[in-house]
Amino acid sequence: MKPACSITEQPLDPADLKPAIQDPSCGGHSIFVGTVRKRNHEKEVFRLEYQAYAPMAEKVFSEIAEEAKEKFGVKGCSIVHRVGILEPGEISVAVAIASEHRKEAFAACQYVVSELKRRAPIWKKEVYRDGTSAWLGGEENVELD
Amino acid sequence: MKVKVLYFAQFREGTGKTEETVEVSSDSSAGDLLGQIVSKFHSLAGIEKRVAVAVNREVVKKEARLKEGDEVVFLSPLAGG
Repeated sequence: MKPACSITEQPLDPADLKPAIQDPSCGGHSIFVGTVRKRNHEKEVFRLEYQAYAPMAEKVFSEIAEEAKEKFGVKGCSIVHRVGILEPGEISVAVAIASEHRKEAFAACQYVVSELKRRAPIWKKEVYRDGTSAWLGGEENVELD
Repeated sequence: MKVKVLYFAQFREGTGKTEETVEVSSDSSAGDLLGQIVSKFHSLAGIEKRVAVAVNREVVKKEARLKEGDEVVFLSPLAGG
C-alpha cells in the first residue's frame, strides 16, 4: 500500500487515495483535487514545473495530517503532490479525508489544503505561452524571521 | 566544517546546481550560509529577505548555528498545491 502522504512524479488519480484512508466507521469522505489552470495573471499557461524537497515535504504532510486528525477528530488524511512538468488540466495535488461525519471532513480538508500551501517545501514555476516564466508564491508562506 | 546544501527553484537556476557540499566556518549560522551563497551568484541578489532556511528538514531561525554534516535548503517563496 502506498504511504498516505507522499510526493510522486506519476500522474495523480484521486481513486489511489482511497486505500490509505479506508475506515468502516467513517461515513463522510472529502476529496480535494488541485489542477493546473489554463490562465493565471492574465496570461495563458503553457506548463507548470513543480519541484519539491521531497523528504521534508512528506514530513510536513504527515505533520499536517496528524494536526487535522487532532483538531477535527477525523480518522484518516492522505496528501499526495505531484512534481515535474504538468500541463493545464492535470492534477497537481490530491487530499482525502475520512471522517465519521461530513462537517469535520469538509473543515479538515480546507485546513489541510491551506496548510500544505503555506508550509510544504514545494515550488512552482509557470511557463507562459508568450515565452515568459515566473516562480510563484509568497502570499501565505512560512514565517520568515 | 562541511555542510550539504540542496538547491531548488531560483537557487537551482541561479547556482546551476542541484546540490553541493559547502565549506563554512565553525561558527557559521544559517543566515551566514545564505548570505555566502547569495553573494556568489549575481542573479540571486536581493532574494534573502524572502527566504527561510531549513536545516535537517526543519525551518530554523537565521541565527541558528550550523553543525558539521547538516543538510541545508533555502526556502524561497513556497507554492505547493
